Amino acid sequence: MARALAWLWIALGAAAIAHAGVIVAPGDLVVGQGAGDAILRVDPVSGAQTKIGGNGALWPTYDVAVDQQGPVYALFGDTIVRIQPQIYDDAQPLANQTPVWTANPNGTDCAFATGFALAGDGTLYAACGVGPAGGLGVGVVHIDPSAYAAGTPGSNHVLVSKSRADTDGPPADVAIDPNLGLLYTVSGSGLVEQIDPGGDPAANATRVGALGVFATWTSIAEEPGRRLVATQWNQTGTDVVRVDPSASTQ
Amino acid sequence: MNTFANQTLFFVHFLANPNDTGSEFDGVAVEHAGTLVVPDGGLHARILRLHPSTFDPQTNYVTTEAVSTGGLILDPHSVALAPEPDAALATLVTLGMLAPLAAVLRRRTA
Repeated sequence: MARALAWLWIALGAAAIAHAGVIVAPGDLVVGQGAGDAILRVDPVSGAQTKIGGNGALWPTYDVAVDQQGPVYALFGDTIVRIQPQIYDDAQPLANQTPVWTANPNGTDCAFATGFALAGDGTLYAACGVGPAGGLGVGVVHIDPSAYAAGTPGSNHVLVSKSRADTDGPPADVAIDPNLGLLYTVSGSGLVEQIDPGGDPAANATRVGALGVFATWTSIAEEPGRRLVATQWNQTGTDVVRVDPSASTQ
Repeated sequence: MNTFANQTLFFVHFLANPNDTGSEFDGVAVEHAGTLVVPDGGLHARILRLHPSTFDPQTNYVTTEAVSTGGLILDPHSVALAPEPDAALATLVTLGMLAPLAAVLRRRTA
């Protein structure tokens, strides 16, 4: 019953604003692309593609996320923007996006991120793979989009974890277990860490997987049942690995 | 290629069809049906769906299908799934939207 009402709610909402632009409906896919290429809504059944945003950055769209309320978030390395698909205009492809976070290239923790995850409360967790002046060894930061202040990069994030990044390499991506409130990261070298975001940033990470070095591990996501899937970038043989962190003996 | 057989962690090692290997999996999304969607950049420029339930431990392969290819897809790097709405919140909103109608009906039947 609740599910039917949920769909009714969506239908009523969509009908109300159908004139305004593209609606990203539950189950739709959002695809981020290389620098300069469009951000797309893709129909999961037909494969139909629709532009919902632009990438005007110097970097690819490293990661994307969709909020339950409709906005799309996109990460361009040193910037995360909120995109409103329903007001996309092909003549002004960047006009429907507003920044919610910019990295501080001169800061002490996060100068560049390659992955992020959207928490249920509207905040974000970002995997920072590059520290100040291009140095490696940073970790995960917690971002509050509502506290974004233009002109003061890095002011709306706090460092959540760095304990393993120093030894295991910087995280390439981060996933959230919404039930347990835990974070999971994968480093480029394939080390999977479990992080308690409420713990001491210097001691709140535990290694729960080691995927091996075939190439560069780039992303991680949670499957039902507390399992994780991670993918790697490899032009000669791409892998997707499933990990059960609860069975880790590391 | 899979060297993890001696580990106690539970790993499933997926490879795309050997005749149609992926090239650059920079992201992954989990669909409600348990399928995985990955942006396959580089050589292919397409969005792939993987079916983990078809995993064959003899070959380490799973069934794959192209969700979308060509067109506006030039260099996919990341993918996300639009989530289902919070059912409880949706119910409250819907009931809130129906409340005025119920009030009108009550007045008309009074």
